[in-house]
Amino acid sequence: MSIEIEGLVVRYGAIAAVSDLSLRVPEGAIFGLLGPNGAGKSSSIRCVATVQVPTAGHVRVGGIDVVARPEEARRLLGVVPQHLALYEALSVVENLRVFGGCLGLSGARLGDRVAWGLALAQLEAHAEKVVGTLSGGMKRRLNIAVSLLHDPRILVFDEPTTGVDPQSRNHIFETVRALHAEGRTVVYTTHYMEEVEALCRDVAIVDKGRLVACDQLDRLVSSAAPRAFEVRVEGSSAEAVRAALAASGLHAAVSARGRSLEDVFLELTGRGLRDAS
Amino acid sequence: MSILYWIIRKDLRVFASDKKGALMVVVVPLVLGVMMGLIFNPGSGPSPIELVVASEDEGAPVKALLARLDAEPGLEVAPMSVAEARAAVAAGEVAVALAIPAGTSDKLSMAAVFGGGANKGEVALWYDPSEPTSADIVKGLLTKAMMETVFSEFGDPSRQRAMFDELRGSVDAAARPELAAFLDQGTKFANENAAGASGGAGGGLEPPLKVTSEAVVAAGPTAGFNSHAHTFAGMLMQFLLFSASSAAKTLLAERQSGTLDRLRTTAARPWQILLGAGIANAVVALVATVVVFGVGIAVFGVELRSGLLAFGLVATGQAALVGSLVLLLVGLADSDKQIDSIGTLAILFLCFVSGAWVPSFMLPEALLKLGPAIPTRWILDGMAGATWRGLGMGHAALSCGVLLAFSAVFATVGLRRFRWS
Repeated sequence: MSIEIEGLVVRYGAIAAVSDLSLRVPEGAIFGLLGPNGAGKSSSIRCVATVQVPTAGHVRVGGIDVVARPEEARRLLGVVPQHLALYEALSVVENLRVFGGCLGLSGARLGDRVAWGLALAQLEAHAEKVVGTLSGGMKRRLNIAVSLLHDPRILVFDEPTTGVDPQSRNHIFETVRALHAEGRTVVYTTHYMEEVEALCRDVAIVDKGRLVACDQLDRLVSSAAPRAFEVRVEGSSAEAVRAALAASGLHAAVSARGRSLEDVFLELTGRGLRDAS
Repeated sequence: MSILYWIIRKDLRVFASDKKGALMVVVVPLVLGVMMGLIFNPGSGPSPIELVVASEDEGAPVKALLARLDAEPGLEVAPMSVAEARAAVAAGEVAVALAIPAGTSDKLSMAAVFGGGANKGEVALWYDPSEPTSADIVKGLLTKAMMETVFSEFGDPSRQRAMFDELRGSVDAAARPELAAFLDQGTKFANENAAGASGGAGGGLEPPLKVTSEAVVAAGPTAGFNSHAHTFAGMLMQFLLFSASSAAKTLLAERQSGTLDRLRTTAARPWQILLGAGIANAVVALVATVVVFGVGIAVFGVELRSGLLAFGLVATGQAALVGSLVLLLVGLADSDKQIDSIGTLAILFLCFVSGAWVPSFMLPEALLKLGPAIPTRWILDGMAGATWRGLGMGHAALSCGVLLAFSAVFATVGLRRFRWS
C-alpha cells in the first residue's frame, strides 16, 4: 500500500510549514524522509497520521483520502511518534492494553497482540513495570510496539532512535527491517543520514516545506560525479595495496581504515539489549 | 548584578509569555476582593432575611407587631398560611417562619411584660436548621418589635392613667369594689411609672409573648439535622471542584506529551478521548462522594432521609458536573497557569455564591438572585434534600436534572473549544 501526497500545504497562521509538497511512497518501500529542523517533515507526517488537517492538498493512504475517511486510513497506518507518547504512570502491559483497546482490539485478539507487542519490544520480563521506571531505550521500543498492535500495513517512524543506545538502535533497525520484510510499507524520518543509508532504498529530502529531491538512494547518491572511490581490501596491508595499485598503473593515496567506533562499541559491549532499569 | 538582571528578565518574560495566565494573576485577587467587599461593605449590608409570617390573629396589637417587623430593614416579611410556612422552611425555601396563633393580640399586653405566668401567649419560630444564625437574628428583632409594640400602646404613663381613668368611669365602684381597687392600683402604678420608679413583678421586664423556636425539616423530627451532612457536602464539593482543576492540568499535560495525538491516530474519535477523560473524573467524584458519605453515615450518624436512590441521583449530578468542569477548563485554558487562575476563580466564585463559605443571608441580594443559575447551589441544595432535609425523590430528581443540564453545557463548550495542538 502506498502513500500519495499531492500539493500539500500546511499553514500555522502566516507561517507555511509545508508548501505545495508532492511525493509518492511506493508500496512495500522503506522510504527515508530527510530534512533539517523546520523543513516540514513533522507537519507532513501529522497530515499522513490524520491528526493535522491540511490547509490544502491531498494525502491518500492505500488509496484512502485521510481527510475524507480518516477512520479507514488509521486502520492501515501505524504511526510511531517522535515523542515517547506513553502513559508513564501505567505499566508496560497496561499501556499496550489501553492503546490496543483504542485501536479497536478486544478479547483474545487484544491479549494476543499485547503478548506480540511485549515480544517485539523484548519487554516480557518488564511487563508489569511502570513505564516511568524504564530506560530510554526500553521506552523507545515500547513506543514502537504500541503503534503496531493493530497490525498496520503502512508504518511511519518519526525519528524513532532519538536518545537511544546503540543496542536499542540496532534492535529498532532490525525491527524495521523485519516489518518491511513482511511486506509493509515503511516511512522513516530521521536526522541521521547513516540510518537512512542503512535502511532505506527510496529517499526524499524536504527543505523549507518543499520537496528538493526524491529518488532511490543509490541513484540520488550517484547523481553527482564521484570524486573518490572506496575500495575495501581485507586481510592485507596498506603497503601491499599501494604496491598492487601502482603495478596496475594507478597512483592512489592508500590509508588503512579500522572499524568504526560503533563497530568497536558493539563488539566490546555486545549486540544484546541492555535493560538495566 | 548583570547576571541577576538577565535571570530576572528571563523569568519575567517567561511569565508574561502566557498573557492570559499573567492577566489572571491580577484578575483573580481583584474579583475575590470585590466578592468579599460585597459581603463586608457596611454601605450595602447583607441581604434582608425573608421572614414568612403565618398569622391567625387579626387583632390590632398583632397587626402593629407585624408592621414593626415589616419596617425592619433587616427583614423582608411575607404572609403565608401556617401549613405553607412550615413546608417552606422544611424545604429550605425560607430560613425562618413566624407562626402567630389566634388570640395572641389579647396576650400582647403590658401585664405580660411584667410576667404573664401561665397565661402568657406563645408564638412559634420555625427555622431551617442549616441557618440558625438567621433564626437568632429574627428572634432578636421579634423581641424588640414586641417590646416596642407593647410599650407604644401601654408604656406611656399619661396613656396608662388615661386608660385607667376611662375604665374607672365605666365601672360602678359600689357594685364592683374589687375592680375599682384594681383600677386604683393601676393608676398608682402609672403615677409611679411617671415618677421614674421601677415597678412590676420582680422588677424585671420580659417579652410579652413566649417565643418557642423549632428547627423544621421535611422528614419529621429535627433530630434528622446533622451538621456533618451539611459540612461534608460543602467540603466535598469544594474538593471535587479543585480536583477537576487538577485533572484539567493532567489533560493538558497529555496534549504536551503527545499521548492525545497518539490516541487520535487510533480508532478513538476526538470527542471520545475528551469525554472519556471527563467521565473518568466523574467516576472518581462519584466514588469520593460515596466514600465520604459512607463515613458520614457509619461514623457521624448522617442519614439519607430521602433514600439511597435520591442520594444516588444527586451524587450522579454532582459527579457529572465535576467531569464536565474538567472539559470546560481545558476548553477555556491553554496552559497550567491559565487553569490555575481560571479554575481557582471559577471554583471560588461557585463556592462563594452557593453559600459554601458564608451564610446565604450575608450575600448581597443580587448574588442571591443568581441562585438557580449557580450549579453548585443545586449540589448543596440537592445534597441537603437527599440527606438531612429529606425532601424526597422529586427534589433529588430535579437537582440531578439541573446538574446534568449544566454538565451538558459545560461539556459541549469544552469539547468545542479544546485545541488539540
